[in-house]
Amino acid sequence: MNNTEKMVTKDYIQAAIFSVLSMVGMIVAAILNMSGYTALLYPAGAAFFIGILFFILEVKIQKKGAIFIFSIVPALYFFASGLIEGIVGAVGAMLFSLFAEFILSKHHDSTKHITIAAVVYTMYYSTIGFAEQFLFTEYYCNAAAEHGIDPAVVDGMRTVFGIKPLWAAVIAATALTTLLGTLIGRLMTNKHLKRTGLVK
Amino acid sequence: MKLDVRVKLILIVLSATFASLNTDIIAESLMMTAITLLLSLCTGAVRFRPLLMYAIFVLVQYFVFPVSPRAVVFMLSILVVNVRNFLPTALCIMLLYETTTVSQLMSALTKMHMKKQLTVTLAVVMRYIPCLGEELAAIRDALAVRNITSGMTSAFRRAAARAEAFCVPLIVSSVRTANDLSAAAVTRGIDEPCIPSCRSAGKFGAADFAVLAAAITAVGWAVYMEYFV
Repeated sequence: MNNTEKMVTKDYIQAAIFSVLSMVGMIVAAILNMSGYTALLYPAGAAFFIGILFFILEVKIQKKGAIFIFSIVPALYFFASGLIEGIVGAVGAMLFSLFAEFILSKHHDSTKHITIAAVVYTMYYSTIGFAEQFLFTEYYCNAAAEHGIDPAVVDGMRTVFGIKPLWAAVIAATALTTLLGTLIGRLMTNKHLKRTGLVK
Repeated sequence: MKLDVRVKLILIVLSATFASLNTDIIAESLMMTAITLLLSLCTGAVRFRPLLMYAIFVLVQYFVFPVSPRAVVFMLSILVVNVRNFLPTALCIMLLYETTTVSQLMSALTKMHMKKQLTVTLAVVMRYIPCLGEELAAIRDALAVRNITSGMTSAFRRAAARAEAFCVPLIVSSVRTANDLSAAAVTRGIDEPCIPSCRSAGKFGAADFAVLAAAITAVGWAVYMEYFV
């Protein structure tokens, strides 16, 4: 595969479809957002699905720009979900996709680089995605209460997000589930997609 | 009533802005009613279901939760509030989705000087979501017929087998759909280097300006209430 090759229409469409699938994965993982406690597991849950899709997409396309396209639908999903948080979310998702692109720049066919890039890409969800909760806990909890979330639930959130070392645990868990996701993506590629000729 | 695609896109942004700033349930209810009315006018059919759904969420939050066990409130409070809060934006997305064709969206985005990457991605999103629903239903049916977990005793192996049997066909079908969509798109001239021209992309009409003015007023009011009161 020639890594300097530019993306063509088929690649854009493929990346866009995987982007939609990653949004579906994020929506499935969003079930974890139901309570303040399980919300801590959301980045890890979303990262698992994204890790699988990231690996397969990168192995399939192996061209510069695929991961950036992959980040567009999740970015729009963040953007539609709120003003400042939404804009930060959208910009953050795209920024981390550029970091991942940078890691992959000359190593689109390297499993090791794809795995590292996937971990970096999903790191957004646990770092910037949770920055407001852990760094501006009071502001976040007050906003949640103003929007009508039950005061007892808000107190629970305040307690959980007040434990700052938990943030490191969330980041570690997200990295681990991304690794697991890329591993499963690799197994699926070798067991099914290569055999069917969909991936070379 | 027909709205310009660009107005529908701006409405999504404005409704998301309103939802994140506003904390007044009466203003939110009025916004929801206005968007439902707009959806009814644009689709030509009376649409009460979104409003009914919204009413259920409001009733649950304000009348059911206060008398419910704490465990139930703890489990469902965030879900109910977030879904209720997101409904006006979801309705605007529905408005765009139900009243816009892929070519109209592409012509509007081209007129807005959007990059090809974004234009193609959004067009694919609109085109692929109905296919995705059909694919998921077909895979679920096939799984039910195959009974793939028979003979497996370990719960982990059963879950892994189910996940594999669900994900692999989904990914394979998505790759094939991408091939089909790209063939169709290339046939329609998406790869042409010249700027696409379109006969349907017109100017804003009175309805477009009225809807935009109402939406901007609502957001302005939410900004005023949030930062100046």
